[in-house]
Amino acid sequence: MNHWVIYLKGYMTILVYGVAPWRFVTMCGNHHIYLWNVSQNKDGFVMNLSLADYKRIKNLLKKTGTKAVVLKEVGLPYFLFRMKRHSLFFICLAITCMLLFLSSLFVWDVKIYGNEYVSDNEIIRTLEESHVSVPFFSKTINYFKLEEMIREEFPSVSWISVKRDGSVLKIYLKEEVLKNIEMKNENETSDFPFYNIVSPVDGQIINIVVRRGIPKVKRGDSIEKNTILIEGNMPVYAEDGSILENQKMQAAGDVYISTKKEFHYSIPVEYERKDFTKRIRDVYKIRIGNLWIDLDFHRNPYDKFDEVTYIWNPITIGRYELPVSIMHCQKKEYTIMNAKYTEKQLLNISKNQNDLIDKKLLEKTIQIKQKDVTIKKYNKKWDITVWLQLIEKISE
Amino acid sequence: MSKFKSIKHLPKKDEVVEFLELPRDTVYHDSVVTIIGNSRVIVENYKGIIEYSLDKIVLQGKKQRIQILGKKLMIQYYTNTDMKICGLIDAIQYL
Repeated sequence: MNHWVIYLKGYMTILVYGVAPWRFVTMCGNHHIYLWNVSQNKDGFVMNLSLADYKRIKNLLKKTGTKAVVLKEVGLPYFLFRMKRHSLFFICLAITCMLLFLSSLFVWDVKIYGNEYVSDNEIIRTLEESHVSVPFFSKTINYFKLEEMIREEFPSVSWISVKRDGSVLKIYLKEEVLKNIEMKNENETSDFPFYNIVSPVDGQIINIVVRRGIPKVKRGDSIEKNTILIEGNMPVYAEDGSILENQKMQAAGDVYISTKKEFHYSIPVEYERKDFTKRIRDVYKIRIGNLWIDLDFHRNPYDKFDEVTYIWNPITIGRYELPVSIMHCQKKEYTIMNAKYTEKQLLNISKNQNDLIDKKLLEKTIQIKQKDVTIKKYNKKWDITVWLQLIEKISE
Repeated sequence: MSKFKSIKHLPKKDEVVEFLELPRDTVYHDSVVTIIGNSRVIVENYKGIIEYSLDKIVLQGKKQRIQILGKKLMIQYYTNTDMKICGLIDAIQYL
């Protein structure tokens, strides 16, 4: 018999002694009583038998003139009996398990990945309008319809996948470049400019490579903003030289434009510095669903303080995250002192600011050809001007 | 009319068993003793235990007695159909 089944049913080790204990063993066999680990010691026979069978051996003991003494009781029924006084603990454990199971049937959170132009809030609002607001019963949602609805609502979404991962609804999406969509919308009213490549800046043409369309500018030309660079309206001439028709096509090519840009910013020499007083308060909050329970019953004694928050989700079983979290807020008191930057600090700040400008331009694939920085030092502030000569690549 | 001309022509039990290839332990209630190495013995078709000590177990079979000699003998399980004996087995004798 399986050990687990024996354990669940409960068994005991007994000592049988008397006139003919082996006769007792034989009779047990005849009465279909299962015995195991039968051995002999100086007092008699020691053997194991199940709890149910123990109730049947009384007659056999009487017949064979033997007596039985229980040496050991093992199994779940005996364990539960011993744990009778801890019954409240087991009831709570069972209720917790049941609540965990019930909670795992619901979706408690929505996570969105891959969105750049459409914000999380917009998508969540759309879901809520369709009566999909957390928490919801996971079986009631048709994920295919949800995908369709989001795709219809947001035309910029080119690909979407909605799936449930544990207690979290995960939405993965990819968006088309919004620039193209905006351009199409803007140009719908005008003649055919949608097919043209238009300059977004003032500047001078450095180089132009046309793959499709008619170039309208040449190298060295100075251009203004919104000048057509490559036209996508191709005339087809008849034999007599007259225009037969205009073939509309999307102009394609690369245009490099040299532009100048200027950035101004100022840094105040005096600033307010935070001096932390080393007084720290720890405050705890518990979140259940959308309800926050504040465990800080005292008034906050600090006038000015920085708050650092750590959120811990204690009930995470595999992919199941239940909407119960503990928030630990650390409030650090500070006082404000008036201070002045040193020249070295100011130079560092301006350098960091300039690096940030460069980084933003390089992210847009704009080359920096020349850079001049002028710093005007006054008593109360530094005025900084950055002149940049850039090469912008406009391509389609 | 009977298929057999006289009682003399009736086939004997042995012949029937041989012809039909019936298992002898079920027909004749012979005890089946299976020995695994020198540490395990499984006995089937027995009536009961006659004697049991750490060195000797005597079982009553349907036809004859089986004596198992050894050291530290223990019955691992015991049912009405079969039993398993563990220990260091020296000899098995039919009495």
